[in-house]
Amino acid sequence: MTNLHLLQAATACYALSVFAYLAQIVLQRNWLQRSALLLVSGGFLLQSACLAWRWQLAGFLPVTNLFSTLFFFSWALAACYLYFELRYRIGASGLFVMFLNLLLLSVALRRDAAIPPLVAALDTPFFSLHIVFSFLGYALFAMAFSLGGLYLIQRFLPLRQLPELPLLRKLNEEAIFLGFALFTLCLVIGAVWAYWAWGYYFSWNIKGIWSFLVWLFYAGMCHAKFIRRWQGTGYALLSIAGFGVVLFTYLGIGLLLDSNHPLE
Amino acid sequence: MMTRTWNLLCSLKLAIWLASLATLLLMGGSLLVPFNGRVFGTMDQVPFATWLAETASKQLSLTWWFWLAALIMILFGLNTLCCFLDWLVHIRARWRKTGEYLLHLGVVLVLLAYIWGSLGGWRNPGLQLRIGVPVELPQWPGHALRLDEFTPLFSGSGPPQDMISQLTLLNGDGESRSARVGINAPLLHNGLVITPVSFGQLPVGLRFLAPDGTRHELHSGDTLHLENGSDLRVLRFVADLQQRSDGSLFFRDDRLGIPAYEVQVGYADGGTWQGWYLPTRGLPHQLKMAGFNLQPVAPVYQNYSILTVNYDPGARLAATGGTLMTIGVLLALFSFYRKRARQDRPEI
Ligand code: HEM
Repeated sequence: MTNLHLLQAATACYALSVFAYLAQIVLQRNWLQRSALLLVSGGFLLQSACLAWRWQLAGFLPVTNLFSTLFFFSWALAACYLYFELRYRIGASGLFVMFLNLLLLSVALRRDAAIPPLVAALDTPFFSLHIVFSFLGYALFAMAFSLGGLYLIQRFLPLRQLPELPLLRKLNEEAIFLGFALFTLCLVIGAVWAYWAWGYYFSWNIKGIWSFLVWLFYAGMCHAKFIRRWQGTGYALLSIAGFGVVLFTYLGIGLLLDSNHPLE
Repeated sequence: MMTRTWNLLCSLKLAIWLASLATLLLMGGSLLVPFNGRVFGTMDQVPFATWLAETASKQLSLTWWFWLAALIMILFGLNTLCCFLDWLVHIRARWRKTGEYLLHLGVVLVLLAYIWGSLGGWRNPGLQLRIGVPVELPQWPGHALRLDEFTPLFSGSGPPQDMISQLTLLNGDGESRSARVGINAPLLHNGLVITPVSFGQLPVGLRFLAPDGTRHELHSGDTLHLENGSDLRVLRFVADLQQRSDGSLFFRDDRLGIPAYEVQVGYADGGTWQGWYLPTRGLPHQLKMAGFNLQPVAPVYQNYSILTVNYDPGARLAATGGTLMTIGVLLALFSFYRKRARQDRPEI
């Protein structure tokens, strides 16, 4: 068995859980929801074991190429989904996060999974922490996107199966705040590391600018929730727009433009 | 009037407006960055204010949004500072928000530090240092940097695992600081930061073969005792000596071209001669007379180190701001659920 078998098994669990959640929406059976949760938990355990295995093989947290970052983003999404599911039993409300998770894994599984040797500049705990906090932040922003989308559905096409609007709003605000807090840590650590490695703590490259923009955008959102007019629908729309900014920062820049954070 | 200005500066709505405006401007403008390397490519090589004054001011059609975004960020910083001060005034009632407001203060300090560093700092992104040759820091008169030792570390093929420079920072005549600099291990000294960039090799002399098969290297400063009692002193070695049409000599490059030694010969009979010896052009008869009988075989190279040497007077303030942000965000994070349960939040 190789570590990739673990990942394939995890992907299968996640895929089955999505079916279980979809069936639960239609059939409304408690056992379906419980099975879905079990499947996500099982998938997460398998993926964590795979991550630990790869970490042990490499001797460092393997997050240095597209396969590894997709893998890690997917792991962070599953962790974030489980956090909300165990806390609030949101069930199918986080389905988008699981879809995104599957999408990332399906792209990752088609790529070369070999762990490239670590470039000297990345051989520091600053790098690992910078990446861990950035993907945990991104995962929470993805969760906010999902909850924002559901808020709009519930608002304009009410569905009995979805949580009530106040709960969706509360969870959306929570995901944004937690994501912002973790992303702040990611930026502070990145800035210290940049200062040590390059001699300045902010680089005016496109990735640097957009990471700052992501942070500024979500800082703005941390305040917009205090303004009555922006609560609810406005906030849901902002959560969706914010995730667009995140996707561009993570994928768009690496794929479309030249940057000092290439994807491979 | 005063109260109205204060209220405006403490207003959350103003903060959201400013943050949104800055976001939109930077979003649109930043897309110009990768496609205009000539203008934006030098941004990390000089402090921000220098770039604004020297490059951006000459390309306003491409950079106007930067000026506006910078102005908005300054206003935003002021807005954040006022919010913090407003909290400080009401701290008895609002102490539970200490985490959030440490974060606000941290942001203000980092912004201030960035402005300070942009105005008062300097950057030297590719200082080339040869072993033992002190180099003046042009932006910091009276200070020089000396490379005492350089070791690139490799593991197999590929890029180096580390580039270790043993450096001494010279302050006037006295040595002020010695340190080892490597990848992710900079020298930090009162706002000065020195990090490795790259390294290279330069010819520093030639290797010669003697008739008895022994090898000799000749570098600047070496002295060679010749068989017939003469002494040869190498005044200097240059890697590429060229002659102009008027006959005058000049050094073209640090890389190997026409290598040359400036030498001084002290003959056994007490006479001296000083002149150039170009090994690729044959032996001057003054050297033949002195009994010099070595054959040049290969150049001798020595590593040199390329370093970034930056000075940022705001670096400590930025570090303080970053620390406050970290503490603040952690406090806010760990008290989030308790405060949410208390419904402890403003509604505007
Ligand atoms: C980049 C700058 C800023 C950052 C990163 C930031 C960050 C934050 C965060 C994370 C919170 C906590 C949100 C929560 O409790 O869920 C917060 C709350 C708050 N911020 Fe800011 N903020 C910034 C600028 C400002 C500015 C300019 C103002 C001025 C009006 C402001 C006023 C407030 C207020 C009034 C609160 C609510 C505090 C409370 O709960 O009592 N912030 N900020």
